[in-house]
Amino acid sequence: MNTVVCPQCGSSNPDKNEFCQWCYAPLHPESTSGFGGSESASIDLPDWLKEAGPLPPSPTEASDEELPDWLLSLRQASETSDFGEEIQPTSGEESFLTPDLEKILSADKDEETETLTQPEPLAQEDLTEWISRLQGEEATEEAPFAAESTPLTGQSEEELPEWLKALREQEEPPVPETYVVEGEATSPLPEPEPFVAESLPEWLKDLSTLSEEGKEAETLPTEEVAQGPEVEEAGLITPEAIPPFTEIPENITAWFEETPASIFENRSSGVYESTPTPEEFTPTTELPPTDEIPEESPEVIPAFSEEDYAAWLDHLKIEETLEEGNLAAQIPAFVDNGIAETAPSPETIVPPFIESELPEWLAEAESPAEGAESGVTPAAQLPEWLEAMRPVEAVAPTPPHAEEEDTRIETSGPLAGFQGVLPGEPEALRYSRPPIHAVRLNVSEKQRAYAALLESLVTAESTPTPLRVQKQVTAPSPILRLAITIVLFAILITGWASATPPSALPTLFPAEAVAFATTINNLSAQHPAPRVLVGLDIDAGFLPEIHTATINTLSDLMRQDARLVFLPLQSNAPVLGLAMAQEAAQQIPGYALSEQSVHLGYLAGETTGLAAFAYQPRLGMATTLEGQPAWDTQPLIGVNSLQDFDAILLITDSGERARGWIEQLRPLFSERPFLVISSAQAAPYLAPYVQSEQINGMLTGLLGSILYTRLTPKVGGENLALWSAYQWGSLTIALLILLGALAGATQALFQAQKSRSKR
Amino acid sequence: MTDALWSLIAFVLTLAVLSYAIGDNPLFRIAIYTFIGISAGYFAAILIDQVIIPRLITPLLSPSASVGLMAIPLLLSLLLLARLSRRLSFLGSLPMAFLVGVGAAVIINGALFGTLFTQVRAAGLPFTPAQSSPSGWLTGIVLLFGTMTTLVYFQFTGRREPGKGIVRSPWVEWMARIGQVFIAITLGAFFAGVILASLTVLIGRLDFILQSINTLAP
Repeated sequence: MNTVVCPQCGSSNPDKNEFCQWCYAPLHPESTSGFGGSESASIDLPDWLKEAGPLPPSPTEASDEELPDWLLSLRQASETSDFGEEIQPTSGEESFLTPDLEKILSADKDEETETLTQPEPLAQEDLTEWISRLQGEEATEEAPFAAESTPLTGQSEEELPEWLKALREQEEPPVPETYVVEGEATSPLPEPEPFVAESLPEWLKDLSTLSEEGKEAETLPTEEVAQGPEVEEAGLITPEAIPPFTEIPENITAWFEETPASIFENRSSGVYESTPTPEEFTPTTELPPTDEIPEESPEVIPAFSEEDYAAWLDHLKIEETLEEGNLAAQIPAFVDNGIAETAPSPETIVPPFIESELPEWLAEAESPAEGAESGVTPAAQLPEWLEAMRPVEAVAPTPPHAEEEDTRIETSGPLAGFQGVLPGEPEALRYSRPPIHAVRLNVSEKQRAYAALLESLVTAESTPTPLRVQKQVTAPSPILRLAITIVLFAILITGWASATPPSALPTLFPAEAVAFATTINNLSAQHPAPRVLVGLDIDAGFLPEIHTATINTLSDLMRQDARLVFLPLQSNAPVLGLAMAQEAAQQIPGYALSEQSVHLGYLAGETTGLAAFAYQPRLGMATTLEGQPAWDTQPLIGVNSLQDFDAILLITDSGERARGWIEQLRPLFSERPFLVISSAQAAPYLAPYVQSEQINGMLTGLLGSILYTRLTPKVGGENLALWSAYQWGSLTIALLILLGALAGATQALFQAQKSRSKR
Repeated sequence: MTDALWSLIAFVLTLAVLSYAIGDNPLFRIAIYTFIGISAGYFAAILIDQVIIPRLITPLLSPSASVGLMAIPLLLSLLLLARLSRRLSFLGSLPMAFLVGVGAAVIINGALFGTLFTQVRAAGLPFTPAQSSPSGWLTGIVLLFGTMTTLVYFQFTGRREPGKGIVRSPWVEWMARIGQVFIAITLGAFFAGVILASLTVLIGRLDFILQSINTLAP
């Protein structure tokens, strides 16, 4: 594996690394440059200069045809003087002044040179003497600053600027150099504060050292100082070399106040050594507003663009043109003479400061100044077409790379070692496409099946389904009904009249019938004169079915001298109860029906009335059928609850009503026999209760009557005529049902064949 | 004489009802209307004579009875009469609610303790050692199977499938079909019982007609 030696720390790193793994310095400095210039140049330049873009072309590169006339004239004038060459930066160093500014400065200095006496090489002593007087640190106070400056310049008192006049009037010790440098001459200081040597920048300290060394050379002319090579090395220009000015603008004053002293320290070394100090150009120029100068980046201060300098020069010339008369009285004589001697003829001067003749780019450069003068910075407004072309990331809450941390570390320049410096590469160049997501749903087969089922269900719910047309059941024709009636009546009458049943009387007896007969006949053996509650829950229409069984049962009970309590639950039951009791009593001559039996009144409420009677017999039914107090009668004496009865005999033709009797009374009467005489239609309904032994015995319909008669032989008990008609009638009905079923099936077959033949 | 008159009236009314064999006719209608009217009148007379007078009026008029206790059924009865008026029908809701609530409670209580619990216990009786026998086991299995299949038949929970409606699982479907057979047998038994009961009533009426003819005939 190839290794690369870090140029900063000297450690070896893998060749694939772009940054040192020890000090995070870039291993390939050329890769960090975002510009396409020569590699050597981009490496040597600091970061801020790299990001500032390519350097402007040198003045020699620009052709004369591309320059405006006024600038050409200035250039021609500068070529006649060699003073400008003196302030040209040394070879190999970059000057932040544009060629235009350098020309202007060289022209001004040329004029001063012509105004003054021919200078000689400036001696070191002369320079130090002047500076020492300028700093005002002369302890001897031999002569005021004005007296020393007068022979140098030879100017009258009126020709001096106001700030210089104020200095003379005060006749105080010379103004400290910081006082001049910072441009505070516009406001006289009542009590200048003592200066601390440590607070001075290094270049000023050097100057102080020089002034102490050359105190003897106090009277040297400033012209010589301005041309001294030492001055060039120190990057200083004497106050005499400062172009005349009327007063220091306030913005410049504020700028000097706010600018830290370190700025001037840096100017003594590096690329700024040959560039003019703020003291050199502030009196003659009007710097842009202080708000346009970044406070924390002093390196950016001299980096004025070409347009700024052009605007500044334009403004400067306009002021000189318009206030020429006023300025003449204030400009010192030496400056005025210089201007007069070097000023070209009006014919040769191209009026460069007429707005109408300014180039377009220069005229446009003035418009921002107007906005700045109003003090209101207009908000950035993009045209609509540009707003529409903005990428989505521009209006998104967070840019796609907003959260990425910039790990790049500056390797050179004043920001070397810092991390997260704003890159020179535009954000737009790092644009990345948004992630692409699949539109297709990721569902499984099971989910797909559920979705299909749900869709089919929704569709089925919304689809109307045709209703089935039920066939209307039509009654048989009157003739058929009459024929069936006649046949049935004939058979019944024939069977009743013949008294010959188709089958013999049954010899096998159901268990419930046997239990019923046994219980009734053995009731007196367990309870002498048993008290039996007879429930009458029957319609009169079904009386013939159970009439025989009921009469025979009641007569058997009367024969055992039972006390019968009739409780009707139907409206016509009381009458039926009376009739059946009288008919049964006729078979037992010695039975006192009126004393041994009692007919309670109609029990209203059906099931609710039964429940009330079961829990509270005396409250459930208080009176007899005749309206007398029931519980004072002989059969009910001593009865307070349902358990005081020895047996319950229910005579019913309805299974539903019989169920109510069983449900309400049987739980409270579980130890005593519960017997039922029911119609044939209620027998299937009561069969489960017989199976569960809730009914101890039961007689059903006509068959039950025959069975009970056969189980308890009585004289004339078997009604063979009725039984014969019943047998024949049952067979006839079964046959008719069978014939009807066959007829229906045949009709259905014919209809099916018809439908098939139609298809 | 009186019995002969009442027998004649009964004979005529019986023939009038049997005339329905040839279709709806005025005799049948007269007999039906007469029966309904007499039954309603008789029922009202029974209610007044057997319920209202002895169980409400007499206690209120009796000095020994508690008037306050009897005022409650009286008030409820009067409120029940308010249902005859549309404006005051809401007053009858209170006695109706009382009747329905008490009736439902009585029926549910009787159904639970008089039918459900006892029938569940009875379903296991054939399998008890005391009543175990081959016929008892067979009867018990048939009854248990019939009960289960009948209950399954009334289980209508199923899954709705597209184009087929509600579909039950196959084993539930087969059990329901067997239960349907048991239900058909039960309904057949009920129908047979109704026919036999009606046949007995018809035989009784024919007997009455023949006896009446013998009695009324000179």
